[in-house]
Amino acid sequence: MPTSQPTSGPGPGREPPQGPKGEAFLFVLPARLEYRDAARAFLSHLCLRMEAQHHIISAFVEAFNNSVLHAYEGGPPGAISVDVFLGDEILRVVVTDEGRPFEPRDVPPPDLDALPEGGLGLFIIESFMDRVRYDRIDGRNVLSMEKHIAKAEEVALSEHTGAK
Amino acid sequence: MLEYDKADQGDVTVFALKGNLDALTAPALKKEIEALLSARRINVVFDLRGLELIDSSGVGAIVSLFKRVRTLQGDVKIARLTGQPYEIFKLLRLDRAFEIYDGVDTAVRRFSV
Repeated sequence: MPTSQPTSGPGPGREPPQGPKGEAFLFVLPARLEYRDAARAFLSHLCLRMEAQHHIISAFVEAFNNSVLHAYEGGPPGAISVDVFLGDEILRVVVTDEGRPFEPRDVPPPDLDALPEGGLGLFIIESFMDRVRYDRIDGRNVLSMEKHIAKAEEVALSEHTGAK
Repeated sequence: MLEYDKADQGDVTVFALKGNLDALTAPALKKEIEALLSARRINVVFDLRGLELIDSSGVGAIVSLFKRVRTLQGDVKIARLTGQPYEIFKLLRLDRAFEIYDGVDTAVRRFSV
């Protein structure tokens, strides 16, 4: 069974989180493609502008795929944690696994004119997100992706009032 | 989860995809594609109206078919591309390689032009 654990807010007995205002959520999922949609469905319901939502989901899917198909390839099954931080102007998704190290610099940029059939995942992530950072921390691959966002209700309001 | 309906319209095979075409489901579509090519069906329309998600593996399956039918003087055309798949096609500049149509019938008719 998946151990999906969406959490929100500080919770009882804990100090309120420090740092920028927003809400944090955490999913811990078995590193199998079947469980990816639990977190994707959550990201689909964040009420963002559609284009931004499509971009975020595209990037998340590629990141999760990379963890399952490359980091854990041929090794023991592991877990993938998906940390989501939703701030007023930013959405951050951090995908962490304990698989083999990933070296983004080893991935050449795709030649789109040649219609490549693979090697597109990192390109999709870096193209659709505003800030992408990879770290290897304590035996974990930590891929942090951020996108500037406007929440859908704010977009609707500004369009209605003419406010910028 | 991917569902697909396959229907022949003359020389053209229309694949209507529904759900996700991704690392999980692309292998099943590739099997269908192999069957298609074995039967020398080389003119294909993908109706993507019901496609909610495509990832790089899904793109790979469609591009692979495209390259193979092109060598056999066939073609792959795309109909009703919207949502997340539209964003992926635009980013990967697939709209320059594939003919993309608003309607399935239009895409099918273009094969006879």
